[in-house]
Amino acid sequence: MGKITVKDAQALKTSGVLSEAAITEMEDKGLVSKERKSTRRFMKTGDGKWVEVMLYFRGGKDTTLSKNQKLLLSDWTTIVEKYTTTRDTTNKTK
Amino acid sequence: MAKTLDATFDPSDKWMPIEEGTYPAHIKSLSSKEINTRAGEAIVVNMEYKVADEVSSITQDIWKMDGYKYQKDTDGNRIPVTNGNGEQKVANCSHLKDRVFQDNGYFIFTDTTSASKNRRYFELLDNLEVKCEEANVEGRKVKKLVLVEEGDVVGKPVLITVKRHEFITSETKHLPQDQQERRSTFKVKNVALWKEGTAIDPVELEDDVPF
Repeated sequence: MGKITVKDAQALKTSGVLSEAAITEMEDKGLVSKERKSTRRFMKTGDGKWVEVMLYFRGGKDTTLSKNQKLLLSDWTTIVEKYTTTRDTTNKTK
Repeated sequence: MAKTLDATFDPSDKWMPIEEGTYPAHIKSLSSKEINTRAGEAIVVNMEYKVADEVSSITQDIWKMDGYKYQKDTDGNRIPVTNGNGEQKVANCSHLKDRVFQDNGYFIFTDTTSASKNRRYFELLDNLEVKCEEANVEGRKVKKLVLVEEGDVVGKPVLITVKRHEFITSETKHLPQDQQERRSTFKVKNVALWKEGTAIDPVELEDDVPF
């Protein structure tokens, strides 16, 4: 079963459908997803297909970033922003 | 002289697309059937959900449309309709009120060898706060699933997450990929109990008699 996105939960709160307490309770029960820390970045392949670019530290779950990892992330962000774009993924164009 | 009709048209009443999102609703109906699958015998539970009046207080972003299709820029992104301040315009979701959506069905595999495939159904029961007793099977604590009935859930207030679901029509399923016809509809992909919602009498959710 999926989760309610942070954006949807916020919209339900703004509209008065859900109170802050109800959202907190749903978050505690794991019914609301966690907010993304980074923006998804995309670029086109030679065939015109959109692909998502990501950096992933395999095995790094629940670990603390080292100084070198932070430097890599900083350089990575600069280079990724140079070559990629953000896009609306709700209605994808194939 | 043209004859006056009882029919009316409101030019301000513009068609609005359905956006993927989470909306308040009530469970309208429930049905179940037994089927044979490659993983053994299973029961499929299907539900319908009627969007609640409270949806009118939720807003959705407005995008440039070309008829019933979204206009897109060269990167394939939808184009927002903006107001004078450069902010994207929004409209309320009142067009979704009373709309009925269906889910894709929840499978319950009755054979214990396929019990691990029952997670989605268990999570549905958990989300709807339908209690399952614990049992001891070969030294392991397992949840004893129950088959929900209309009386357990119809009228319950829920939050439904609606997503676009693309499918190939059964008439073109056998054709080569480039000749297949793809259509899309909106299906309920997630259900959670709407604790602050009010349960309604199932009678109120029945379809109106068409005369």
